[in-house]
Amino acid sequence: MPNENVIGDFKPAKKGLGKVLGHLEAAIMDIIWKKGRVSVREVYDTLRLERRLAYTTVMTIMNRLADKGFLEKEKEGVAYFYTPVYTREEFNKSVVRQVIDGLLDEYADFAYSHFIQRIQEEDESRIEQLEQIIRAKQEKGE
Amino acid sequence: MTFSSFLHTFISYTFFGSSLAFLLSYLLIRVMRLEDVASKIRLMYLTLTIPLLAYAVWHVILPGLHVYPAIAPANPYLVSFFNIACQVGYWGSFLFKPAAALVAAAMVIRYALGVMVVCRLVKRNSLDPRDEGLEYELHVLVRTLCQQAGVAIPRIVLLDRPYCQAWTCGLLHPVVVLTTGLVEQLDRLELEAVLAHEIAHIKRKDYLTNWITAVLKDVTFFNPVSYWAATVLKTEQEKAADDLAVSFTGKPLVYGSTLIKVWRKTKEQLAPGVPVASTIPSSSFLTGRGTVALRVERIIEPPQVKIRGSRSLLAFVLILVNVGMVLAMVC
Repeated sequence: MPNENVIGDFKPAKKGLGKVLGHLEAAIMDIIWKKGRVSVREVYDTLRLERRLAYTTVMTIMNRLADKGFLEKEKEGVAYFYTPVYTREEFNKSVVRQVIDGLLDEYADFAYSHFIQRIQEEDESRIEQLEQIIRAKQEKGE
Repeated sequence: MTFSSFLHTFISYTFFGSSLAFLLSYLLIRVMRLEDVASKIRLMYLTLTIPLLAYAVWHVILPGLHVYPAIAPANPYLVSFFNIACQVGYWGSFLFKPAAALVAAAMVIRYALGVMVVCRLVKRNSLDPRDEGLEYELHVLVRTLCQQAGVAIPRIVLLDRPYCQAWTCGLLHPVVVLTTGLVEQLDRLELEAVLAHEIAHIKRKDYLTNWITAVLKDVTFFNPVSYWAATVLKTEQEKAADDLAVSFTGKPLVYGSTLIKVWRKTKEQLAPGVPVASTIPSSSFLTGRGTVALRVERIIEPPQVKIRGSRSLLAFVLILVNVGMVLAMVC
């Protein structure tokens, strides 16, 4: 399961992948998830059946998706091939997780009692001293 | 009684009542050496509730009984001061009245969203105690600790998250939430320490009082003293939960080392853009840096704290009566 932020902007009014990706990004990811390992040409040929767009546009978007970490890009001969880093399920789960974490953080935090409330600045040397005290007491059998 | 007059009085009472109660609490804690956690919690609750209590007594209960005490200062300077204090409430009500409905709606939406999100989490991630393996072990640990604490077994939620977190929430029925990151990275004794802390919160009903504190803090959002009092309250609640948890496990050194381990792990996992709930670095006005170090110190080298019950009660009554009388003179 991906650990990183997979969403930048969240657009609740949009449908499906459009909530977290641009409409062309979402269409490209859809194709790549169906086909697996693809070249820009393959994606372009699929997309131009339903819309007018330039080859360079598809290439730019796929490079952008690779920069965002959604696609892995590898060179084979003169062409580049792209494979999805996450499966569709992993991606969707990560989106849901991030949205819920964001909502929890924003709206539910007031009602929690945590084991550690806030990660504040701590005096590292004091923490290390305390660890030594604990170790010494444990060795004494306390 | 109109809404405007209620708002005007409430704002005056909040500014002066809570501020005076907070200041007196701070002084009396030092002068009377009220070092125990329970006294501080009691006084901070008083700070947050005194505006409402005073309003209820002077403007609802006593008039309802047709009792109209004439309390007025003799000193003309004090009269002027209290007139200004009342005027502050008037200006405040003028400012906030148009936004009052919006503020109330925002509060309701926030709480409702909070409840919805937690309910969703619980519905999808609750552990079935009949499952073998890790979930079953967790339930065994929780059951043992609950028996010791004398509380009913709460719902356990295991969240699939890589970071180390544990928290208790709920309104009428407590829920303990753990992350898979926590469960995977802690050994059995350390997990017991964390669970003991959460069950201590359940024993103290902190999951319920958190809501009360949140509402009190939100309705007095215009007064920074409310934030300070709520922050002190939370810190003392954590100390109280630590003390109770260690009494359940009988292992203060394991507890202390677990606190440090969870702090280190969470700090390592705080990467940019990772939405880790409730680990927003923030420095509190009163607790400041070093909360984890302070908690560990208290556990492994407990301070000799005398429970001064009669002094604590005296401080409570002194603040209640004096601040109450002052507020009667304000409006």
